[in-house]
Amino acid sequence: MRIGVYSFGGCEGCRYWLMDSMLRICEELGAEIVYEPLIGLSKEDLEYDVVIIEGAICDEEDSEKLRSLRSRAKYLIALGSCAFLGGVPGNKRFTDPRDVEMVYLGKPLQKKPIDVKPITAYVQVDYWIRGCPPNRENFEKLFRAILSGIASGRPFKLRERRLEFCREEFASIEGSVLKLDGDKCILCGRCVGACDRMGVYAIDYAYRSISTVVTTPFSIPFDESTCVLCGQCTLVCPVGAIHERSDLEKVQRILSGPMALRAYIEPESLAAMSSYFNREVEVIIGALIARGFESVAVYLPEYHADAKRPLIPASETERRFVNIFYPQLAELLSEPPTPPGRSSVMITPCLAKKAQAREGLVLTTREAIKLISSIDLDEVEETLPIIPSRRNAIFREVHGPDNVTRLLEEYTKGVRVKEPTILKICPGGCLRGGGQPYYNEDLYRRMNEVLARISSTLLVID
Amino acid sequence: MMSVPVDRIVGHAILDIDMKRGVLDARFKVLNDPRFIEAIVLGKRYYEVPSIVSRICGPCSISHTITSTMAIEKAFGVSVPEPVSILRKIAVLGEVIENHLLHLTLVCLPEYFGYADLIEVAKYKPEFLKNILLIRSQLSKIMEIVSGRLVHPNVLTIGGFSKIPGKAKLEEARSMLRKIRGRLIEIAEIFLETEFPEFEVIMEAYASLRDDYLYIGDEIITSDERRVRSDDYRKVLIEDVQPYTTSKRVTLEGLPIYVGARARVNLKADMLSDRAKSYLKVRRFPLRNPFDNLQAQAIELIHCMDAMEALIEEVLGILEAKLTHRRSEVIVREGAGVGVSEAPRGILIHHYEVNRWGNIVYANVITPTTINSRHVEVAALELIRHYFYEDTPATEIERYLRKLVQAYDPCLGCATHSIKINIRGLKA
Repeated sequence: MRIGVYSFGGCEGCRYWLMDSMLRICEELGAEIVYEPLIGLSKEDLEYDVVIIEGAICDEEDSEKLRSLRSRAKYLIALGSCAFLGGVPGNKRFTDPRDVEMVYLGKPLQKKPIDVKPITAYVQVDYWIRGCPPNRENFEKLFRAILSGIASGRPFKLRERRLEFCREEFASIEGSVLKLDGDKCILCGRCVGACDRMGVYAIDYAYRSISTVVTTPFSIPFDESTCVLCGQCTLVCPVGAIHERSDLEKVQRILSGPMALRAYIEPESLAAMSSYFNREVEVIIGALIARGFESVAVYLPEYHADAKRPLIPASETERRFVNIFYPQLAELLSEPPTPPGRSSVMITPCLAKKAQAREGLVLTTREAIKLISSIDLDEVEETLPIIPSRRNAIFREVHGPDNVTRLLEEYTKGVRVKEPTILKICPGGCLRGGGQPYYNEDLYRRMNEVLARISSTLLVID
Repeated sequence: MMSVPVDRIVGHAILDIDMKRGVLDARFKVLNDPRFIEAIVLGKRYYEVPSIVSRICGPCSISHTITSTMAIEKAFGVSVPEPVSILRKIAVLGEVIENHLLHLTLVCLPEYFGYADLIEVAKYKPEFLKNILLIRSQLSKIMEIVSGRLVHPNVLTIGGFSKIPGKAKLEEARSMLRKIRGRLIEIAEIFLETEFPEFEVIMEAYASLRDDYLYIGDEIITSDERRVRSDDYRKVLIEDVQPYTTSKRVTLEGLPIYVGARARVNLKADMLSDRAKSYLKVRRFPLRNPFDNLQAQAIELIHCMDAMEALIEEVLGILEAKLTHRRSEVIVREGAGVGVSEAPRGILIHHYEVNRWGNIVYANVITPTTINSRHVEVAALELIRHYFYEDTPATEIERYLRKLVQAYDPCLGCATHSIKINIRGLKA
């Protein structure tokens, strides 16, 4: 058995510390160390049985070398924390790049450093031996087991699978807007919590033990369940198992074609995108135009209300909510505002708009962020959006599931005078709609500020 | 052009020799990856620093830990109890023995005694290798008693020790040390009797620390009789960056300078133990040949062993007389501190500034190999001038050059917080 010991960026402590153990075990098992420059074995071989890697990959050259070593070795062992996790050099990611530059007094080097990642980011690793430095007894046990396994032709694996039936596929729940991918789901229950908080209870755990899944009642499609398409579940899913139908590819295809598309963007989406990229609103509009839109207009929804139908749903979500949970109030509902028509794309924080769109296309804020993320925002021409000259009459607004429920209860009992009210059931209103960027406290605080700025400057009519 | 890859060192490097148009130029290219440790510690809490900077280098991790600890203690104005300072000395001495032993036996010995590599040594002299491995295992047990681990020590903390060895443990360490003494002296004697290539570097400057043979000192002293307070190290030691190497270069105001075992023996021979002095008598003194560094290391092996035993006695005496606390209290305050110590390969400087919340705002580390790297280039040119004009074949010069770099015992993990040799224009 031929062994090569290679070292990348690191303190070389593992090799130094475990040298005698390695020499002794190799001698015992009849293995031969071919390459180890520290003890004068400096002739590289073309092929190895085992290559031991120590240290982290710190520049391009190293990653090439590592890939070549992988192709030349039957087994690859990562030794120590630096190879396994990135170790101390990996801390560079948390350091100001200007400080990093000043270590070499701001002068350029021939070596071009890269971000440090574990070596599994580059190649497949057969065995890890962890520690900084690895504990000698553990190392000896493991190293002996690995080498004798390889020598006997039956290398040991920790991949034994005892429950074959665990591999069965989990059912996915389909819907016109939402989709739950059962294979991705890790059963964390955050979506169940979000749904409960909305007072909708469309999804929950079902079955026991290893068969447990998150699903709708009897696994019926979302549209047939009590789901109101608010999309709060998509905001909290840590693995992207539950997500919206994406129109992104369609929009990209049309944008690359000859057809002129106009984008309508809701103020909440604009605020979210501006805070997500930490740029001015004008830059975001510029980026959308650079992406191929003919023009970008701010979309202000048109609400219809009269004394007979005082409940104004902000979208399909609220209409479904009232229809499902308060059918006795259904006749009080007016029509929700409709998305703009043909040859236009709407950018909205609201997932339910996707269900409403008949002719035009609807992108969520998240999709719009993806759409322009490839654009260099530094080179974008700042553009002002088109502002609609018409304004709605001002109605009272009720935000959040608790407030909406309370209002509807009061209407049912008849203890409240009916006046035209806009219902926005997402917690905190459209700013936390189901299509917004994934929740992050700092981001949402900034979004609030930007939205306030937009409504006090851009949207003011004199 | 000649390019000589150097192995048997801790790291990867190339020595490039350029002889185009009659101008001789040597470049010692360190190829280890830069890891930016000085930037990584910025903003970290003060107590995280020793364990991070210890990862600069595995073999000399104890020196890095202790020197950074001392720098931060200086910044906070902490003084440590007496047994702590002695135990730290013991840890450094143990590390020096371990490093010198590895360099002399596993790294240099095969080449000087005509074996291709260590595997061949194991084939023809199995007892010899077994001896070395036995010494190493005993040493690492001693170090486990003193500093918790040989590589990346885990009981050394700011203000003292998190765990101090008891009397029984220290006595065990002493008896283990006595057991390996005979074997260590045998190994040192092999090197003291070896013949090395003869040549001298004419312009030489070297530096070490005053007051103590190893470990600590507040003043840097040089061969041209300069004395510099450790806080003013930047007045004489100038750092610069060359694009071809990932190691910084440090000079004594432009003058190439070396540190390490040879510099220590030359400057502080009178502080050696009696046994070590008796071995020095048979050699020419001062040691002018860069290859003599190996002999200086052999002498230090003997000295460190004696000094270590004496220190263990001392600390046993203190522990017997009275109960002492193992750790001083640390009060965080704004300040700057420079820790200087003698690591196995020479002067090691750690400099930190801490803000009033105890976060690091400035860090600078000068390691012995960054100081030596310029001197390696100068010595390589000297060696070529010396041998080239005597019509020595190029392959022989290449062999000498490789041995020369090895003799400096460069530790490139340290220098880049890596040796190949290129000789350009030299006819074969």
